[in-house]
Formats: sequence, structure tokens, C-alpha cells
Amino acid sequence: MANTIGWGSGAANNSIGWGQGKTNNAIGWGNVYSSSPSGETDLVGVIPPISLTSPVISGSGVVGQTLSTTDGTWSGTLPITYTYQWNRNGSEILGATFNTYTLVTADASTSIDCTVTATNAGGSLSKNSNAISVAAAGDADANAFITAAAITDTTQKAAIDTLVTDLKNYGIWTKMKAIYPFIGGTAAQHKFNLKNPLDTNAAFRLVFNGGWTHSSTGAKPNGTNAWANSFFNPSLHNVANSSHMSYYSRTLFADTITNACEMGCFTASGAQRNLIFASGNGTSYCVPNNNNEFIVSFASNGVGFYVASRTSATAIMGQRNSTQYTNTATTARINNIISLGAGSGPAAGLYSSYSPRESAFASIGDGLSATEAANYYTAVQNFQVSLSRQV
Amino acid sequence: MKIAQLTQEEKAIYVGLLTVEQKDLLVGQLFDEDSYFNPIQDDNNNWIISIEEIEQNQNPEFGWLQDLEMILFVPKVNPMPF
Repeated sequence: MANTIGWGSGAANNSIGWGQGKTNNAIGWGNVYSSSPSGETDLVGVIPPISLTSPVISGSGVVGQTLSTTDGTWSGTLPITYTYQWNRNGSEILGATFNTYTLVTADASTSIDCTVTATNAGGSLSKNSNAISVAAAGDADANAFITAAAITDTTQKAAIDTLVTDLKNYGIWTKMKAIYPFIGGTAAQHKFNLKNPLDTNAAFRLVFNGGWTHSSTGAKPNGTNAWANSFFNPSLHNVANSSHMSYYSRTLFADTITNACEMGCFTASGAQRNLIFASGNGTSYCVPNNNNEFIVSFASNGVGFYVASRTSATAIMGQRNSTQYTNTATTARINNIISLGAGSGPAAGLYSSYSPRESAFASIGDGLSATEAANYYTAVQNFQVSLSRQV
Repeated sequence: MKIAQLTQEEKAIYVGLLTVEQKDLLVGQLFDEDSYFNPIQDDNNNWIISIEEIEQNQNPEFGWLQDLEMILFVPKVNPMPF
């Protein structure tokens, strides 16, 4: 048997120690041989790892944040390699074997540390790091939504929490009036507005009409008769010259004849108004006004995150996946309630540009600058990636 | 043809044909806890309802939807709005 450190004795090696045997002792008080008289071969002068200072974890103990650990300092014969195992309340976290670890909801209100194991030719030795206490789970706004929408999946909870945290860190959260993250997989969950998760029209919850398919990847209108009422009227709920709309489309629109409207609105006359829509000419547009004057023309009908924003009478722009498109117009605010999935919130049978494009996110709110819109894309795309439904 | 006879591929292009009276019964009614029926007219001015609404309907009052005649969906063409 071999003893890397210790006082053991036996028929085999003792790397460090006071043991005696018929073979080798690398350091110690025993006899040192390059090989035993019987012909056994052993390492000579190999010093196994010895911990000089413990590993140290850095990072914030908040769900969604990433912790990292140092190796600590070690002596011993080179080369020394290191492996890592992160622990939650002293128990190993399955698969957490890198020198970084991103905290998930399950880590909330627990203690996290990391065991670093140093290995060389002479053996291995493990040392535990300091422990980090993780704060109770979640942002209060995220928790309110999670509770209202009955989100129970750990990954989904963490995704919402990180999304809210990111939006707040970017200074965007306060500019949002309605956010539809379409998380959970059912109409009962997809209807909630993250900004105000109450099951009332006044809170801008969505009311679905017609044929929607709700799944873990989002809410998909059927392109035949599906639309959703947001109850949000920019003319009443936004200040003049400050508005934005966004829509995360997971469905490529390739129709060359008709148009598909992802966001639209009522008009006083009952006519449709397409606000963000894919057209049969292969281009997507945003028309955030009620005068049929397009203000932003996107280059394609591709999948991705469309944002259209207005921050002044003439500062009007759009972004698709953070690529900037700019146009100008001087038009009135939308004076109609915004719908999703169709060109209007139609009375029964009223013609509209129903869309077949699945949405994994949508929002309505105050105007966003180009930088804010780009940051918004980063936050929303991170959200989609964390749910494995990004395009 | 009834909905039970449609293949998955056919379900993507068929809709249920409604009478005016049936349309009036559906308007403003929920087919599950959070979704309302939305009968519309096709390009031939037939009143129709989507496959999704028929399949997702949880309201026993509208069980007759399963017996609707299925027709090919002919959408109204949406012109450019500007």
C-alpha cells in the first residue's frame, strides 16, 4: 500500500513520513532507495502537494451571479494540476466542477464553498475554500411575477430573476410598462405582465382570443384568427414622444403575398394599424403611429428581437438583434389599444393581418435610446439563452 | 369531413365552418380559463373557427364544435397598410 502523508508503515511506499518499510520513503526518516531490493520501482524525491494557503472564493452571493475560486497556494513536486468541486451546504453540486460556478435559485439561502484538489505524481490533497452565504432568492419584482404566474421550474425562476436584475442594472426596468416574457407554457402563465403581475385588465394582462398555441418556447398565434389584447393605450399611458414596442419572433416569415402583424392596434374606425409587422415584400416594419406612416424599416423578416422606439418628435429608430435602423417622422402617439398577433384587436370577423410568428417576449413602454435598446437585446437574449429557446 | 378525420398536416390548413347562429353563440365566450373564441370570416365570407380553438375547448357547452364541417381556410389577403 502507499501512504502519501503519514506515519503508516507497510510493504510499499511512504512519500512523507516516519514509516519504515522494505521499499522507499521519499522524505522522512526511513531508508530511501531508487528501487527495492526485490526490484520494485518507485518515485524518488517526489513531494506530493502540500497546501500553503487555502483557496478563496470571490463573487457576490446572489442568485444569477458567478463565483470563482483561486487554487490556493501549494508546494510539492511540479507539475501540479487542480480539480474543483463546488458544494452546497457541504454536499457536492452535480456537474459543478469548474473554477467558476453560477448561482442558481436552488442555492438561495445556502452556503456555497469549493473543494480544490491538487494532484501531482506523488498523490493528491484536497482543501476547502471559504464559504459564501447566498442571499434569499430573488428580486422582489421577479418573485411577484413568479408567484402570480405559478412558475415552479428552477431554471425558469432563475431566468426571470436574472432578467429583472439585468433590466434594473441597465436602467431599463423603470421605462417598461408591460413586459410579456411568455414563460411557463400555458395561457394562464403567459398572460401576466412582469411589471405588474395582476390578473386584471388595468394591469395590462393579456387576454387571448382565437387559436394560440402555448408552449415552453413561447406563445404562437395561428395566423388565422389569433390575437391578444394588452389593454395598453399609449396615448393614455405614455407621455408624448416617448414610447417603445418590442417583439421577440421565433418564426421566420417567408410569405411573399400577405402581411403578418406581430403588434397592432384598434382605431376609432375599426381599421387595422400594423405596428410591428412582417410584410410580403420581405421586409419588416414598425409603424408606431396612427397615420399609416412607416417610421422604421427593418431589412428582413428574419427571426429575432425587434425593438422600435421613439424618444423625441424626430428621434425614431428600430433595432433587430441590436442592429440599428433609423428613420424620422412626426406623427401623433398611438391612440389605440395595442394588440399582439394581429393588425388590430378586431371585433368578430373584422379583417386583420393575423401573424403566425411565435413570440418568446414582447414589451411596451417608454422610449429607449439606441444604447438602451442594445442593452435590452442583451438582457432579453440572455433570458432566451437561459431557457434554451434563443434564435 | 370532421376534425377527427383530419391528419396533422391537414389541421394546418383546415378550419371549422360555422353558421351565423353558431358564430353568435361563440362570440365573447371562453374556451378555456384564459382564452376567448374569435370567429372570423374567410375570403368567401364564411364564418369559421380555428382548429386550435376546437381542440383546446374545455367548455362542455360547446362540445358540438367537434361535429363542425371542416373546410380549407381561404384567408383574406392583407394588403400593405401604407
